[in-house]
Amino acid sequence: MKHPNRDQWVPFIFGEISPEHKLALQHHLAECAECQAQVATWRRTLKRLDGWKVTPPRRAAFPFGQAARWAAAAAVILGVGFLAGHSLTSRANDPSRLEAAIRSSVKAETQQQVQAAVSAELQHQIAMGQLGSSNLLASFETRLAQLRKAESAELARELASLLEQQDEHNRAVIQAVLSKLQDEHQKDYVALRTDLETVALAADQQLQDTQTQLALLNLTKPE
Amino acid sequence: MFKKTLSNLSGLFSISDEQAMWRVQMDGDPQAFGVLMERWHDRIYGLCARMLNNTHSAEDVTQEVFSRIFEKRKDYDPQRKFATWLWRIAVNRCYDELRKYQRRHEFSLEPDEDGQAFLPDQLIETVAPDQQAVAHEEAGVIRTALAQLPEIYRTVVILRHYQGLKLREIAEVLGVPEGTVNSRMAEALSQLSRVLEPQFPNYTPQRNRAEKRTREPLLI
Repeated sequence: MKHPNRDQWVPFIFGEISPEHKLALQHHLAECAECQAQVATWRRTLKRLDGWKVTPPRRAAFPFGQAARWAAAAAVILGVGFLAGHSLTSRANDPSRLEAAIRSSVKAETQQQVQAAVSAELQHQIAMGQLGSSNLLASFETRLAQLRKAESAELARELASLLEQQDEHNRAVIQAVLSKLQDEHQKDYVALRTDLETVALAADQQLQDTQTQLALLNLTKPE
Repeated sequence: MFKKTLSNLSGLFSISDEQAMWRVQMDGDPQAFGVLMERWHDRIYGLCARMLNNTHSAEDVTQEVFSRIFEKRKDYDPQRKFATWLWRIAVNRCYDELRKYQRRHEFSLEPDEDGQAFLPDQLIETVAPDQQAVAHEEAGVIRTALAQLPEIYRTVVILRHYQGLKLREIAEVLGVPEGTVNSRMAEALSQLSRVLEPQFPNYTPQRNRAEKRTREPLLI
């Protein structure tokens, strides 16, 4: 009698065999004492294995539960942090706020620097007694150009830094702000130059008056 | 608010393993991970305890398996069954632990000095007192017989008989053809029978003895 392969009995005893194979094996089993003995032995062995049971440890002693609670707490904290960060980021991304912040900051800084520069230059020129309208004007122009260049570079750096951090939408907003600021900067420059010309003319006139007074004093000075 | 929270929690417990693992993978969701642990801890512990034949190591290895699941959550393929991935990690972790035992020469098939085997407090706890000695002895014999099996044979027996995996599922876990699983199981049953048959000369069918016990469902 040809016996089925030993491996074929495995799905048979575990009930994981197709109906047609099961029928064929049952048919063989009914006629083969040798295979009956083998299958019976295996089944006994499997039943004996039931004699070893294990009980899982109590959950209270399982530290992972504590770890999970810590993880949950950490997740809550992270979540709160995320929400707070998100809310702050949203505020920073508000176009009108951003524009106002940049505008006020740059404008205040520009005015302060220009005032300081003009004041310092005037004091320096008067102190050195080298007043002359044309020289004074040229000097102011040079200093203003340098100042403007430095401010523009600083502004560009700040905006480049901001541009890197913002998304496309904010980039468009910042570029619009930059454009506006450049226009205003140009207007400020023209206004400042007009003011400086006025100052220079006034200083020139004052110089002439001073020279005239000095000449008169020299003339009227007793020998 | 409270009802919503309760609803979310109950929703978590009704989701599939794959959905829970997806949440763990995407967000590191501790609640979803807790659900998976709740569902699988005892079964993984059962595998480890029988593979390692040592309850203390089994606890450690079980925790390591879940730690590894969390660490490797990005490696999980959501298209595949979570259970297969989990069993594979657990089996491999058991193999690693057995390698360590072998290197340290700590792995012993012999019972402890007091005559008890490795899991004296883990035997059938629901057996009537007059049956305990018999059950204890029987369990020790079974444990020794299983421990003597080569790992590849012991694995298929434990996964199929104690953990209830189908032969096809075992093939997926081990990454071998189903025919290989059948072959290993046939060899495992033959070796176990050779060891166990002489140990129980006056064999009484397990069903008859089980009926006398105040037996509870399989704990694992």
